[in-house]
Amino acid sequence: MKKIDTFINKHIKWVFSLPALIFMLAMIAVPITMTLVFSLNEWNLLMGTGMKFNWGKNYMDVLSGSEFWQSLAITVYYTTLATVAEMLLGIAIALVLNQNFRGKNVVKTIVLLPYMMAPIAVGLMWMLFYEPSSGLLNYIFTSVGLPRSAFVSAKQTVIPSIAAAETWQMTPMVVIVCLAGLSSLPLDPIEAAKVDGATPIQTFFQVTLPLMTQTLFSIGLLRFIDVFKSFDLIYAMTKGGPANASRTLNLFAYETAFSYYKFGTSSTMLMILFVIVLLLSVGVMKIQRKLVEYYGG
Amino acid sequence: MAVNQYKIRKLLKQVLFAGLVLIIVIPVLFPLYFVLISSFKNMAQVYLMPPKLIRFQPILDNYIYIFKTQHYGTYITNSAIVAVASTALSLLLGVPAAYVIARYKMGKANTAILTARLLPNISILLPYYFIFSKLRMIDTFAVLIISHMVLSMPLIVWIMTGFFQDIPIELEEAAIVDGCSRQRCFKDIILPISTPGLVTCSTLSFLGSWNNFQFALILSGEKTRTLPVSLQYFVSGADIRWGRMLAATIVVIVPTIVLTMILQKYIVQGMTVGAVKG
Repeated sequence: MKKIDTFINKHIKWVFSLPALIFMLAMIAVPITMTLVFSLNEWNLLMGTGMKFNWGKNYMDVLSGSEFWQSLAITVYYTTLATVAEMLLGIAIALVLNQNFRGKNVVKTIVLLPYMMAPIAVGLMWMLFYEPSSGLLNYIFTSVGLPRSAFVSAKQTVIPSIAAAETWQMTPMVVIVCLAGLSSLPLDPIEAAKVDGATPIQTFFQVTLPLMTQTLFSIGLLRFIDVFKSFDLIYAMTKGGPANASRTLNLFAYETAFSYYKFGTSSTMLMILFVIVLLLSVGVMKIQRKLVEYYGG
Repeated sequence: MAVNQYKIRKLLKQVLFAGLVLIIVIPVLFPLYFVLISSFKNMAQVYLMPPKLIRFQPILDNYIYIFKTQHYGTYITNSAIVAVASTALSLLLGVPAAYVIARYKMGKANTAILTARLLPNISILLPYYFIFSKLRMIDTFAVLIISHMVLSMPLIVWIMTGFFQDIPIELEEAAIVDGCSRQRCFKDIILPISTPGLVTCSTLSFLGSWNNFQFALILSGEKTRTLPVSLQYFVSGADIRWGRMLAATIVVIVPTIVLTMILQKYIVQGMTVGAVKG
């Protein structure tokens, strides 16, 4: 017993970290490597044949097919729309909640609620509001004299409609991070601007916003990556329809694997998705470091 | 006169501000209220526009259906088992790791964790399906718990590393000089003062597992079906049984709403780790 104790005491660094490291390696590094191997093989479960190495033909096929690029374009469109909406709304709400008022904590809790809910539940909830013939939103639209919308059942409106649900759910993340950023700002520059007679709007654009750059960049890129790889909400609302108009890369890869059982091709898409997200993540870390240097933390 | 004008302006400002707060709060609360009351309505009432928002005859049929005909009691238990077990095991592995990462400044480990957090889940799901169907482990609690640990562990390590870094090292040094072993020092000194951090990451880990859909969709089956997966079965083509589905939705979201109301402070802390500090 004593011996074990001294051993742990001496090697605590590895005794404490190895179990977690080994678990994560086994559960993340190994599967990613497997996906890479799958992606280099012709492999269709329905054909009943095994894997057959095909020298990266999957990559050629995927990258030269129009379906992949269409899906990538949908993903980028959806991600940009949702991220921009979340950022603008998030900053605006954070500015309001940054004031001191009675019941602030209650309001913060309420704002947080959508973020904590299961995305699949949020998706189904919004399907109720989007119901084309007798849904709540079309009722409100017609009451105020707007034309009815088909929302998720038309090709033109499906992406903005899902992005709206995504925004409703995920804006709280931006609000919370911006609030923390705002409260950690130095007060002097803002006070100085006030003394110099700047209007609140001038102060915001010329003092607060530049001081918030680092926070905004981090959260913006994090949101972009999160939306880029999101699955649940779109799956709940449209499963990629109508006519593949909302089939993002994630859904396309899922469908290829679990509806058509083309594991090789699906793995190829997943590897491409993985590389895109990896590059974006490296971007996040690089930009974060640069900004820290630039603004001195 | 001047004083009066000042008072009026101040009042006006307060009214305007209250209006702003309402504009923020209503778009969150009204949809939730609408879903809640719709879960107590039958199909015809759900479709009735303008909707009856306050005075309608609430019915319990939807809830009776999902608990009696469907097996929502079992699904709740399944979800709870997976969420509690995956959180507990992730804490067991993740918290000590976070401690040494913070104390020995293992920067590479930190980058690896961040990468793991940003990884698209689906790119590891395909091999999981392959491996676990070979091992005949699909539709077991073990596989669901393990897969959810992959999601919660990076989160726990990330939050706790930040938390441990803020604990002054002098606290331990004194104890170690007095002959206390490092692991006892961790157990007796560090862990007790880390309760807020532990509450934060346990809550987020529990909710992440409770809400998880994608892993459970592929890796669960009839025996281990969790709540989020059960929701999709209400949608068959264009026909959605709204009342029943909304009752099920309420069952899924009520625990998360209750937890958020009780633990808001901790959740907010967890969400801002790393995002602001950089």
